[in-house]
Amino acid sequence: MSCAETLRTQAFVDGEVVGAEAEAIERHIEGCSDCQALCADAAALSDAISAHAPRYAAPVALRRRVEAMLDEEDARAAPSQLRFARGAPSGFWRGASSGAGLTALAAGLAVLSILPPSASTLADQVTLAHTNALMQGRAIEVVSTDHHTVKPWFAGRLSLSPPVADFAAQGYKLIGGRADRVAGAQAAVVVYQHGKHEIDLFVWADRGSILPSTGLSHGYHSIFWKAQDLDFAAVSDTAAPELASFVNLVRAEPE
Amino acid sequence: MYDHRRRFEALALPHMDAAYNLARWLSRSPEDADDIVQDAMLRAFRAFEQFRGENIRPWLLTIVRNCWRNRSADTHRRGHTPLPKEDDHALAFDGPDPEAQALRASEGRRLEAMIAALPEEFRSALILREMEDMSYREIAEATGAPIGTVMSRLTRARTLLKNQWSAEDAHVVR
Repeated sequence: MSCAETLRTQAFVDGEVVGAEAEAIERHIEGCSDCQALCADAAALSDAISAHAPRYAAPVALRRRVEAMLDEEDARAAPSQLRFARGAPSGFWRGASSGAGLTALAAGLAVLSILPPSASTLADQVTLAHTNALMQGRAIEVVSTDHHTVKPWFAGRLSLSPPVADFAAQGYKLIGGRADRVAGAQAAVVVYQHGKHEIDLFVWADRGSILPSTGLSHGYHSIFWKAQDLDFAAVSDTAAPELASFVNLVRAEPE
Repeated sequence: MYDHRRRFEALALPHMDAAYNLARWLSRSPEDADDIVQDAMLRAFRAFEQFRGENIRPWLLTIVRNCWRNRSADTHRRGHTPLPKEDDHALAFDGPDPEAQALRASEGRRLEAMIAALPEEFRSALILREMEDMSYREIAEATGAPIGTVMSRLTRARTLLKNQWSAEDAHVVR
């Protein structure tokens, strides 16, 4: 490659150059066959990498081990975090049975909790159900991309009838369903594929419980809502905005 | 500490795929990649208090790379790879038998093998640019190299792959 501008052209191809400088490089490329070849080769390589080179995702088992490691780190640090100005640290746990100790303990726990216990538990629950099903290889009991197959399958097994739609055109492909449980109730799970990620849509009968709007548990995002006497939760390790787009599609479906 | 944990989960865990992908392409074995990512996430969690700034991904991937280098130092370590000459078609192979690689049927596997055979610093720059869509600045931070070096490594990676691809298409046996 004989042209002296190749590094700048590459920077342009990689989206690193904007404005007037970008326009100047574009003009140069128009008149330079070396740089045109560079652009074409870079585009071809990008396409080939997207199509053929695997972009690996962290296995669920690894995520679990990392989670367990974080639990251990928490447990190691927790006693010192619960110490407050009052009371001798070494006597804290021994003093827990006394009134003063319990008050300090309760105060400590109140500081530590971020969400109301019921709401944070629900995000944990749907995430646990999602990852357990994946790890145990039972994520899908009825394998079908046809909602005419999946919807009646639920009717034969559960007392509720979830909305089942395919959004393959928008990148969220229906791949099947299963029966599961969440919050102590039977739930229908409609399973979707989005790129390299699986999205579980949990549907269960509303019993008046309070739902959080969103949750984050172990790196999995969840979004909750109510509609038509049903509670919904979408869970996935896909990025939050993409999960939100999926939820918008589901909620926009006429029933 | 719970707040610290929740913050870490919200900021760092979403990049575990990026961490694992880099670890896989560096070490090329799922077991090694697993160990590297676990090690990296633990170190990141312990160092998380000192993390300032908005962009955690390059910081996290720096730790992943350091964990890989520490492991490699214990066993076989290739050390600094001199830049191959412009017309040098022979890539520095660090993995399985090159002939076996060349015999693989699909184009996809050919490409995968060629990328895996790139010298590490070229491979890392290419992976982070093409698969993680990271900017030059982010790649510079994650690989501990100046931006100019990142740019020339990307050029070399792309040129090497193109030359190797053309050479194989012309049935040149290496």
